[in-house]
Order: sequence, then C-alpha cells, then structure tokens
Amino acid sequence: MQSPPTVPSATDHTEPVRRRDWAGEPGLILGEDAQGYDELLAQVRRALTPRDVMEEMWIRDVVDLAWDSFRLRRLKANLLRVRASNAVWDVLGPLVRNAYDLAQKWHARDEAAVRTVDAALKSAGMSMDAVMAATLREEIDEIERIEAMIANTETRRGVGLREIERYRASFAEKLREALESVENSDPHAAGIVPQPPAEQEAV
Amino acid sequence: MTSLCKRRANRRNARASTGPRTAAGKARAAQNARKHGLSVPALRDPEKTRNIGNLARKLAGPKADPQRFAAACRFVAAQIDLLDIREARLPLLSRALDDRAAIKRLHSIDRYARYARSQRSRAIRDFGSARPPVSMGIGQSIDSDTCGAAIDVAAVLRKSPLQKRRSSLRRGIGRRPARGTSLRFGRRVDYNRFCDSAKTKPTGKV
Repeated sequence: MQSPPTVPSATDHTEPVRRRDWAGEPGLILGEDAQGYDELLAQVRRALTPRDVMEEMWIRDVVDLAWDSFRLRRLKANLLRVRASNAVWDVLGPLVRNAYDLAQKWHARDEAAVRTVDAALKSAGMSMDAVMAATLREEIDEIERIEAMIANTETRRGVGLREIERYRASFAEKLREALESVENSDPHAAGIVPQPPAEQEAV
Repeated sequence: MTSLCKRRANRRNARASTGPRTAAGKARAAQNARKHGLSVPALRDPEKTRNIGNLARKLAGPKADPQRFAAACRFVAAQIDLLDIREARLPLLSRALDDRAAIKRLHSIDRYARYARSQRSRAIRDFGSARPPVSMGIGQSIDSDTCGAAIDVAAVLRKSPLQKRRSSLRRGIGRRPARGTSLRFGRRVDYNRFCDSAKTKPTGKV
C-alpha cells in the first residue's frame, strides 16, 4: 500500500520558499549552490521563526544579504586570482624573456611554468606577494567598489535584523496596551469574568 | 552670413531627417535614454499600479483606513522596486569577472536599492502606526474609497501628517545657523558679540 504524500505543516520553517511571493525568488546566479541557499534560509528561519508576511520578508532579506555578502567576497577573491596572470606578466617582464607566454602558461597551472615563475621571482628577491600587490594595484578601483558593496550589504543586514526586533517590540507593546485596556475596563463587559446566571423566573 | 538659399536647403534637409516616423520607431526611440528603468518607482508605472493595489488590499485588509491602505501601497511598491533591482543585479553579477563595467554598474545600482529600502522602512512604520482594519471599540474602521479597482497614486504619494511632522522636524535639526551664530541647547547664541574683531569689518589694508 502506498503511503500518502506528506504535506508540510504551516509551521515547518525548513521548507524552502521557492515561489514568487513577497520576498521574490531566490536570487541565484549560474554555478551557485541552490541547496546551500536553502540550508541558510532554513537555519535563519528556524532561529527567527517568522510570524507574518513582514517578518518573512525581512528574513528573506537578511538571508539574501548574507548570501550576497558571501558572493561578493568570492567575487573579490576570484577577481584577484583571474587577473593575476597580467600581474605575473608585468612583474616578470624585466626578468625573463617571453614573459607573456610564461604568464599564460602559469595561469593555466602548467607545472614547468609555475616552477620557472617561482624561480624567477626568488632570484629577484620577490615572492607571490609581489604578484598579488601588482594585481591589487591594477584592480584597485574594482576591489574598492566591491568592498563598498560588501560594507553596504553588511550594514543593511544589521538594519534588517534591527527592524525585525523593532517590529516585534512594537507588536508586543501594542499587545500589552490592548491587554491593559481590557484589564482596566469592566471585567464583566470584557467577558473576562463570566456573567452570573440569570435567576430563572418562577413558573 | 548664410544665404537664404542655403537656409532653405538646410531646413529642407532637416525636415527629411527628423527621427522615426512610424509608431513602432517612435516607441523604440522613446526608450533610447533608458538604461535599466530602476530610477522610475513602481508607483509611477501604470502596469504595476494595479498589481500594487491588489497586493496592498490583501495586506491592509478590505476595510482598511485610507492612511493604512496608502502606507501598504507604498510598502508594496518599494518591495516591487527591490525585487526589480535584485533581478537587474543578477546578470551583472554573472559577468562581473570578465567585465569591468559590470562591477561599476553594480555599484551604481546599489544606490537605488538604498532608496527603495528607506522607502519601504518608512512605509512599514506608517503602516504600523496607522489604524488597524479591525478596531477594538476605540473607533470605527471605514470603507476606503481608495480600495477600488485602481489606486490613486497621487493620494498614495501624498505625505501623511506623521511624515510631514517628521520631515519638518528633520528640517529643524538640519537647519544651518547664520554665520557667527550657533544653536546651543535650543537657543541661538550670537558669538559675534563676544568677539571685538567681528564688529569691525577687515579692510585688508595695513
């Protein structure tokens, strides 16, 4: 006998939100791990337990911003790695012949080329740090922009968490005021104290 | 001086090349200056306005106060703006490694996100401070005229009394005092009277 399909309950926060809702679809680019995103979302949802659409939206915001921050950090590292071959060419230019070809082979991680580059750098009293410094000098504008975007992303993530906190505090305050107003009013009228049963008229 | 004959010829030639003539061509040329369209808020886009109205109605409730409904509209519009910005960022992020211009564009798009976020936060604050749809005997919730099929964009964008008060307060704080004076503990102090040199204008002559 086939078991009935399991329906996730409304309080199941591990369920990934993939539909086009208030928070939109997860913004993933080609090559990004959708499972990793879902896990991050599930973890944050478990920790914060959204109560309504606003909180759901903020949580998605916080997760997206965290994801964006990781992505931008990766972008920065990859940018330095990809553009390093130009820096190898620059640094080795005065040291060896055919520096361009050597840089291209080094970029393709050709073992002989890697050894040659290391030896040439060592003979000139330099290391890969010099190559990375040259890359940074070339790409400083891009790196600066990426750093600014990372800083913005982290600030916004903090703001998002504070907004959830403020929203919950204001909700709790409203709830307390409503309860106080009910307590201060006539308890019989508010329905807190049950009305005494009306005396039955004698028949 | 240009001769009359030349001027006539120039006018004739200019008339022969005055842009697109067909409706499709005009429509295409109208979009020439468009880069990404993110500077136009969703509330100004007639196609999105209907969707905004429906979503805001769901959020605020059918018997919402007009003020609450307007705040809900602003909130939904800002959220749609943010989703549009997120969608516009994705292709740029994909080619950021190969294209220097993509990183520059990403950085410039960031400011639209900042604006949309601040709009959304403000709308949420107004939404929270507006009267909830079901009142608990304190007042009476009213049927809003703005809850019809189309929303009144002008009414939605009009500042609420709370916002007006907030902006006037901000103006008060940020107001620059006159030269030689300073705002100290809320009182304007004229520092020029403590300084003898301020009373006499420097002539620059020795």
